[in-house]
Amino acid sequence: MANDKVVDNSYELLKSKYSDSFENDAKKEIEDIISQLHGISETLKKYKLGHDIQPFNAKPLE
Amino acid sequence: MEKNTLLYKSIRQLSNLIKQKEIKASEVGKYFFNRISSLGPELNSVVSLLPELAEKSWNSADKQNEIKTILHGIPYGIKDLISVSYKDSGLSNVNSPPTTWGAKPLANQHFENTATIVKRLNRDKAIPLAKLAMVELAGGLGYKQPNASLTGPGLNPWDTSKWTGGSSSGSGAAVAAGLVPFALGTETWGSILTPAVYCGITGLRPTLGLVSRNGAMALSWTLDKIGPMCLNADDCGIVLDTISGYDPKDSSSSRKRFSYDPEFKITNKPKLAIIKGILETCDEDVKNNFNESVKILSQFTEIEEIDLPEYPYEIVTRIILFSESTSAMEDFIDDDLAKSLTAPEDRYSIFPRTLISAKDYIKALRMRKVIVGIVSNIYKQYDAIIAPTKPSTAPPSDGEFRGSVRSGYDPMGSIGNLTGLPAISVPNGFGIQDNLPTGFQIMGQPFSENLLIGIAKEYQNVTKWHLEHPKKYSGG
Repeated sequence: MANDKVVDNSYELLKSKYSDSFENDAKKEIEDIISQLHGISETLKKYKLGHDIQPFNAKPLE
Repeated sequence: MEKNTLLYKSIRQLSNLIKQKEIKASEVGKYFFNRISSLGPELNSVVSLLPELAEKSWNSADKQNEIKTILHGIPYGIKDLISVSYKDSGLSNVNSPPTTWGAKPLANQHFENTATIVKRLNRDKAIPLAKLAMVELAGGLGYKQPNASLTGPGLNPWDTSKWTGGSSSGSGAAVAAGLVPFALGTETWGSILTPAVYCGITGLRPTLGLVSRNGAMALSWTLDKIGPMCLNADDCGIVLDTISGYDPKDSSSSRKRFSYDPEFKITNKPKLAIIKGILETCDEDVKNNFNESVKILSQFTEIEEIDLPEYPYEIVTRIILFSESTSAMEDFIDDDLAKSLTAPEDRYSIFPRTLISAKDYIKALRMRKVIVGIVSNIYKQYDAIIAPTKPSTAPPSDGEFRGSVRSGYDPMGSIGNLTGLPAISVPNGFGIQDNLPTGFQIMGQPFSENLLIGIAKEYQNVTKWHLEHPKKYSGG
């Protein structure tokens, strides 16, 4: 999905979930963070990991 | 004895004075209590004073004839995300101080129990004087400017128009200004080392799991550490010896015991690595001071440059920090408290983070495993990695110092915190233009604190940067 569309949709989703929690005047800043987080997510995709690589600290109970 | 001679004495020096009965614990306690009461507010370094607990503690220390610990009668400050309850300190008639986490909407937050580490310090007869200021919620919500605390921006004792660094801002300022001999700080990513270097003191971030976080605010369960902020490396070892140790109340607590060895001698030259290119983002003064430090360290260590494989260290750290902090602050978000925070950006930055997918969080945890492998390979050949602690001296106490999501290139901070490595920051000079402290860090393998402290002590034996103090507060 194009970045702009992701940002628009994500902002609307946040607004619907947290409508009373933040002001509309922070829209630009929130959209900027969403855009950056989307960029980070895209960066993570570029790193391919084998199934043998488990999450850090995935250990049995002691 | 002249009380002013207590100022900027190390823990070991103060302890010797108490042991030799040259001064009572209560006199030391009162001296520093008066100092932090009168000077703490001008640096925005204090949230609340603990007069009743301090008095009870120094009276108790005075009464005990046999002095069993080096911290007996030594005053200290506590970052205000670590809980102190008077109920379990034998002061049930007095209201406990709040534990504010640095946040206005939590100004009246109280906990029933005292943190494990404070209990350990009290057991050793140290004297708690104050809860110290910090960046709201340990800076975990994306603050971009120093004015992000219910007590205002942390003001640097070297120049009060500059910032102390965060998030352990009050701890850094209080030690640097000689208001307490040591303080407790916490670090998720940079919050001990940054104020330590900006304030010109020695700070130690312990191995993840070495110090119990029971009773401390959680920002990120897999990244948070608590450590000492002191005047020198020896003092860091002394404090760490007391506060470390297994605690069943913290499920990340390690059963490995740290025992500080003050006689630790560097025998075979330890091998230190410098990451190629690490100086490229540093200011000229920071570079020059670091290069001077390398010359000194070369007298008793072997130092080589290494290539660090390219990998998104900072991004992985950030995804984990953002995801875990969003979970840790779930109630805070649901109770709609973010809108009352001090920094405008802290009022909204947490909400977009709720959009981070579980897939990305798990991917970051798996990439963390890859990073552990990269780090392990380095430590097969080297005992520690060294670097400037920060690329610049302290920024102004007003204005932005970073962006909302990504801060600068920080492989040491991201790798060190991601993989739970210990590090110590040591002062190594001053900027020529601004006369503000610079410093370098030594980051070692897990549980290598004795080696790191040993190298730092050796460096401090032949340099005097750690003995420099802000003129305004040293009477100079």
